[in-house]
Amino acid sequence: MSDAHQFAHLPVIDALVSPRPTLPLAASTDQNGSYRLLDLPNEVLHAIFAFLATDSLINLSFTCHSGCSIVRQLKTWSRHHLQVELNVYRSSTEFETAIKRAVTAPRLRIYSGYATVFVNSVTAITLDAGADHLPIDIALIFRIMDTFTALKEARFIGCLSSGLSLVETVVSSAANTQRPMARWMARGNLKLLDFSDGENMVRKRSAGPLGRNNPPPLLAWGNSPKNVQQFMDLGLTSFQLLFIVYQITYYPQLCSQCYREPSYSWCSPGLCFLCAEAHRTCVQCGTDQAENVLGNVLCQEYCYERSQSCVSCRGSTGWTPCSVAACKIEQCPMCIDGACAVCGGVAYLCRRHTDTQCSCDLLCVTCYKEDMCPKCGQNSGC
Amino acid sequence: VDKEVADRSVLLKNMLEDVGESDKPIPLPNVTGKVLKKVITYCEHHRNDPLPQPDDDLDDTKRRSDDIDDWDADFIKVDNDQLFELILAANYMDIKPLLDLGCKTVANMIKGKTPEQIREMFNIENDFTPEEEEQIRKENEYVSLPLDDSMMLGGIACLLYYSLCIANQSGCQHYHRWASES
Repeated sequence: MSDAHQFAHLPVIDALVSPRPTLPLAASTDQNGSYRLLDLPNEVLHAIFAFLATDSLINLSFTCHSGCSIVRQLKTWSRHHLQVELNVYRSSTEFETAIKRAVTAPRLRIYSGYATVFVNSVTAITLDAGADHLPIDIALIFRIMDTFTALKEARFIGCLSSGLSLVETVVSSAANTQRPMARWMARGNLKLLDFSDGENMVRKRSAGPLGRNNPPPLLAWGNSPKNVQQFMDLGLTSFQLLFIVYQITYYPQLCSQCYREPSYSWCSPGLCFLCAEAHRTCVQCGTDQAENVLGNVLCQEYCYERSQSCVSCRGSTGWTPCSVAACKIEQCPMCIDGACAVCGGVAYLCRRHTDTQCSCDLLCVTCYKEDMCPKCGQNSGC
Repeated sequence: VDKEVADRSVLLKNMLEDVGESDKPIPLPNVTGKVLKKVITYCEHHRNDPLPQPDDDLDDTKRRSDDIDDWDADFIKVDNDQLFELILAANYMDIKPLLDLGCKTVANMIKGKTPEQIREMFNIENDFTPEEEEQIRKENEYVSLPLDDSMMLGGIACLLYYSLCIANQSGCQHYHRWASES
């Protein structure tokens, strides 16, 4: 007997007929006995909303309190919901197109063109687990997150715990778990914050680069007020000239060498002023460079770093946090390369600590700890 | 009901495996007879379709709601009550293709609709205060709606009036005055 015949006699239908579905497996009904959409079980609503794009979900959330609540709690809402500058994109389709353009931008030009335009338009990001209507490249997410890291502020809307979980997943999926996001999270920056200042900063940056009319007033690193200093205090007046004389674009970026550290690109065409003193050749193509009146070095070759900040002195164009999560200090900007005495990796330490008479060991970022050199009295990082 | 038809439902498939060769009835208390007949019709039509794989949901490219074939589209042309009952039955009986079909249909009904149209369609009562509505709108203002019909009609009216002004050789002043006033 075939299987079909074997079960053909089962009195399924007769046994199944019941006067009315019963809760909790069915939805509730209204006074007319009709089912209401938002009374469907959550898993069913999630399945329905998984097919909806952002604008439809938003419209659904406008319908009533219940709709708003359900949409906000949706795990299928989207993995990454990005809040962008008002009026930048006129529809979700256009927004999605912009994301696709940014994702497919050439990697070496990842900080220019469409990707930069997109990243600069993002003012907030919502992280949640679940289906993803707007698939975004992880590198792009990192860039956006780095923007927030640079701004020291970010707003996370919705389910924070799942957002944290997602970031952890992203971080752990990366080749190196010591990426800046991990440290950033370890420092407790992943929390609900007032984004108003950060949003203004993004808008300001979108409106125009830092330059003659918009110089950075302070160099700041870490969260402590004592770490905020004037250029003058740091003896970097000549560095400040870059902002006053030239229209210098500011944009945070990942180190293009190690893809680990965020750095700030305060650059004129070519290498930055501080790098010019330390390096006479382009760090990318290795060719000799010409010096301009300010000591800025222009690369003779057209390499993609031309419009970016110097790679090797990324520490001098920004303030790189220590990779040790519990460590509160930041590396100083004027840095040189060296070999770590502990692990043999590349060390970036204070230039002032290059006193050849000092026997203090250089340590790499990973092994870096705040200390004072007993001989020269400088922060040794040993 | 043939076994291969019943097997479209994971719930029934498991139950049948548990029961084995038996005349024992299988209870499905959460599904009405009318809906169950509809479900069986669907399962019979799709009896030879490949069964969905557990990781199908992970593929984002499959999360589309515009890929409903003609038979399914005709099958799912029911009123809202029956549609929701079908979805609930598919969810309860664990028939993923039918559940997806229902969900896609509801999603298609929502797409492109304003909040007011959604309320009307699904009998949702607006319990927002005007202040709350404004607050939600501000929070989500990055999603701007496409041009609505009235704006398009306004644009067409502008063009028509402009053309008339030129035709009447009255110059553009009339148009600009009219445009600024309106």
